[in-house]
Amino acid sequence: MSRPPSSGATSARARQLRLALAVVVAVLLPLTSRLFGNGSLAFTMFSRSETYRLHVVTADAAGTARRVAPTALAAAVGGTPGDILAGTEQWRHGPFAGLLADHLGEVARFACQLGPGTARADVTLERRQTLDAPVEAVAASARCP
Amino acid sequence: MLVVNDAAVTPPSSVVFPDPPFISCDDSAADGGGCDFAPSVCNLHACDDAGACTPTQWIKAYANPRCVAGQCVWDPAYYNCQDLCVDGRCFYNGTTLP
Repeated sequence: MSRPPSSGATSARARQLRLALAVVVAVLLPLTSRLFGNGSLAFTMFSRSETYRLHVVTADAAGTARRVAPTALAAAVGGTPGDILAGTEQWRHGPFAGLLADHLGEVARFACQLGPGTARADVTLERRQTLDAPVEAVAASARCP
Repeated sequence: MLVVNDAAVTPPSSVVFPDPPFISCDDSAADGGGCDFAPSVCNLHACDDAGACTPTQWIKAYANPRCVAGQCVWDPAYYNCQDLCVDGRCFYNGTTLP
């Protein structure tokens, strides 16, 4: 017959269990989600703001280009993505430049749906870390179905 | 995934915006006058007689810039922020990226 564990041993085992649980929840799950999934189990704190603006240009089959105000895109998208897009015709300061850069292709594909006859959409995100830093541009394009 | 919302966004008549900027241009120039998007603005505070004001939530952007009779003109594009409109953009009061 085995002896019941002492309260000290139980306490040590509980500490180890809590530590293991913390490592799984706080480290392994977010890391695995970030590396192998879509990152939905990992969250990003606001750690950096920068200035950014968005250029959206659509073209019809004949190649006639038309500049689209990002706020017009925002109105059609709505919700939190719309809040992020609205007003980015001009330089804005905030934490969303990285998020926009990650989803720029999706924004371009969405711009295809704004007007009938749109054959192509080009989206350029300009961002700068500080007010006097060089402008970095990220671009995405979509051929419209 | 972004989802298209076909409904046109128009603010109610009680929502008032500042006057659009006055920018001169040359409509005979090769670049069409060089008109650009003007900075977006928030709607003006609406206050009642008791001094209670409604928060600003609407954005007005100036789309489709062009030069007409020596003056830049735009088509309005409106957006209703989920929270407040501050300095022509939506204010996001969160600590993590959405």
